[in-house]
Amino acid sequence: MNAEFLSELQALPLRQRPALESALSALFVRWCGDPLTVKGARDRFSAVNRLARGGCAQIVRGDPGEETVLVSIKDLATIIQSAASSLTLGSVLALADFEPTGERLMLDERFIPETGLRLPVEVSRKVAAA
Amino acid sequence: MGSLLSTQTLLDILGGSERTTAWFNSTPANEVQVSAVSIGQALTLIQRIEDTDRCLRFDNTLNSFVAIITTFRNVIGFDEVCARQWARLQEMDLPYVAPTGVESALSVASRMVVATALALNSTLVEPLQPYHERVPNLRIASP
Repeated sequence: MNAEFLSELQALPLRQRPALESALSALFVRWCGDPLTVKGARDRFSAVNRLARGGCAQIVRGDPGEETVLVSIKDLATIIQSAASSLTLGSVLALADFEPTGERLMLDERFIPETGLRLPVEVSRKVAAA
Repeated sequence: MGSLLSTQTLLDILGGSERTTAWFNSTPANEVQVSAVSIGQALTLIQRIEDTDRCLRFDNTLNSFVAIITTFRNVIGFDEVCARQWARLQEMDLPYVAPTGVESALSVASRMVVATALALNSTLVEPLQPYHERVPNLRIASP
């Protein structure tokens, strides 16, 4: 999994789901080679699995949006970290349809310090006498 | 190393201030932290809103924001390390100027938030305050 792939991943259109899926599929085909048929993946599963483990994800053909990707856990972790680091809080809030109230609340700051430990009267007298 | 929101900055995000909007549009989401103490301070204010609809709107907006920060596991509790930092801050003279311009001393709860930033070695996200320069090792990002 190389930096150019990750860079293209960060540039994917996030807000429109159909566009994201289409772009993701095209990205994997561009970097991982032509999709395998289900039969081809099954017949050569050991080799396919070895390639995915070695850093070369494999895409298995299906209807648009129904393709599957065989990717190692390490590469998946890299993809997730890369995607997460490119997202600003602003873009996450937009994706979550966060809506501010439009009104400002203000803190009332007053410092009321602790007065310290108060001992029971008998203990105070014993401490004073000691 | 993260960016811990001051309670007022959290409130400003809930309200949609332009200043905080510019800041969070340039800050990675996975770096933004919120102290559990700030959530408590915000809820305390929200509970005092007498108008039911306004109160509910703020409550829902706070819950939405906290849910987003939670997905990044960045709601920060107050533990022993924070408590030890807080104890030092309790003895300090920390002047604070409210958005209204009223001057006071930084509250006990807000000192807990500052202590959390120190304990995590995070940057406190807060407009510049007179108390900042009195706290050693405190890093500030002013939105």
